[in-house]
Amino acid sequence: MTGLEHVLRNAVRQRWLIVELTKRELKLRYRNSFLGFLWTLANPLVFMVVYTLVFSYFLKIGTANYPAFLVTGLLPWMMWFSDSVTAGTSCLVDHGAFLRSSVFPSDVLPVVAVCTGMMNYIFALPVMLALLLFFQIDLGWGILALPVVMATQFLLTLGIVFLTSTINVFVRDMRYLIGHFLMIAVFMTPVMYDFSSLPGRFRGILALNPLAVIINSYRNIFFYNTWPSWKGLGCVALLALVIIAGATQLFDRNREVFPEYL
Amino acid sequence: MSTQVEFRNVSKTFPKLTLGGHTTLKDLLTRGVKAFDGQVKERRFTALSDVSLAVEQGRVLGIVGPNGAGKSTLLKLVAGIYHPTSGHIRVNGRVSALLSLGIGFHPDLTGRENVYISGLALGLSRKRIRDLLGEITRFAELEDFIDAPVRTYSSGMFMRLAFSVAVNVDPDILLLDEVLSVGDSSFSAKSKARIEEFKTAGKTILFVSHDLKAVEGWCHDVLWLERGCVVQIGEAGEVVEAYRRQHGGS
Repeated sequence: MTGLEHVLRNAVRQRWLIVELTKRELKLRYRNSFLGFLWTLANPLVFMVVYTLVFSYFLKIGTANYPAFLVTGLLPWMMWFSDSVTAGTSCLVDHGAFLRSSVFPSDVLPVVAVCTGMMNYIFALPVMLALLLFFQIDLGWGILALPVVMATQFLLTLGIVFLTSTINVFVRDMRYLIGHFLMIAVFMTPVMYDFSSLPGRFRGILALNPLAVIINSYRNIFFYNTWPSWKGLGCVALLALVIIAGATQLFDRNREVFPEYL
Repeated sequence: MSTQVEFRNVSKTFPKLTLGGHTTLKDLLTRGVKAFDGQVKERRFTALSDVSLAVEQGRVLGIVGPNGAGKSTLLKLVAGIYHPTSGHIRVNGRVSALLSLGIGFHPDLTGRENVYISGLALGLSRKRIRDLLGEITRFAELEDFIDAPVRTYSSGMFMRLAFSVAVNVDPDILLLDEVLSVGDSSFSAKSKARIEEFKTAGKTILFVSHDLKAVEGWCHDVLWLERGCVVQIGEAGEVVEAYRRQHGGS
């Protein structure tokens, strides 16, 4: 049995545990605070205000309707991708006590990290739609492609998290490396700027960035009122599956020794 | 009677972890990947060596030995948390383990939420857990507190809930690591009664304890471990007496 089959089988069998743990993550984040979810949302909104000031007013290089432009790319990045990768990288270590002293299906933890980020993004969607409405951005049929874009992001994020969480068990520096990786990646991905504003040669290189394809897809459906690039999404999904297959293989080969290293 | 737990020449070694408990990138860079590899392969600590045993269904096996003898490692091997470095382990039936108390409970979640998550992790269906919840709560005497976060529980309440989950999920094999001594006397009596029920119901129990009197009174057989090796395994009274001669104490 390959690692992927093993992980998939466990994830399906433990689907309710995944649901319950995701609910737990969301609850814990929002319990004991008055504003709850608003705090999670405040982060990208503060960024939105600051970047709009810097790019649109001070530097005057922002595109038209910059806040709306920014938020369509920033939400899937901050609320979901970077949140899931950060939490996911340390998920096995964070649950060390569980894994060391009870029979706990470790496979579900990376999945939970990605699901939690996805739910955060979904909760933020109404706020984003309200903003788009405020800036009078037209929404078209492209919005129907949202599940496909989200599914692609889900797979890519899951592959990365399976890989980094496994490595982090043995080399704890992974957590710090990932922080830097995310910081660099946000600038290498057209989250805050538009692809078209880049010089041609850079555009070619950055177009190979799978995250760019995903962020551009969100932009297309929410901001430019067009369909995403199906070819691009297809390639990213394929790449994500390759990463998942490799990462789950690595995870599966090491799962038996996790309790000894945690 | 069928054999429910069987160890054949089981050994378990652990990597000797460096300062801080884990490898860092610094170790890798300063000593190189090869050194890291060698360190993992060579510098290993032997927790159990060449252990063979068989526990028949319905038997209670006590495990005694000084600290670091490998008692908890043995239970974790039965539970499937660890896997043997060499040798074979066969376990028939559902295992419920009470190894470290309350682990698997999240302090900020309520007792009910924690029971739910523990049950799912043990492989129970959602319906089964809902059915069991009442009994688990009643047995733990936590009717008024089950919807409070477990961080507000006293250590006794925490322990009662963990114990209640472990014994109410209908296991075939129950693993207990030094737990019966905790809790107040009335709960202690109650948990002993529950374990007595388990014995009558023909369930298999593996029981680690330093309380030789309890071991003598509870167990059919006793395994004496010392530095990962089996010193003696056999009829409870006999082994405990031999153990007492060597180590003194009660």
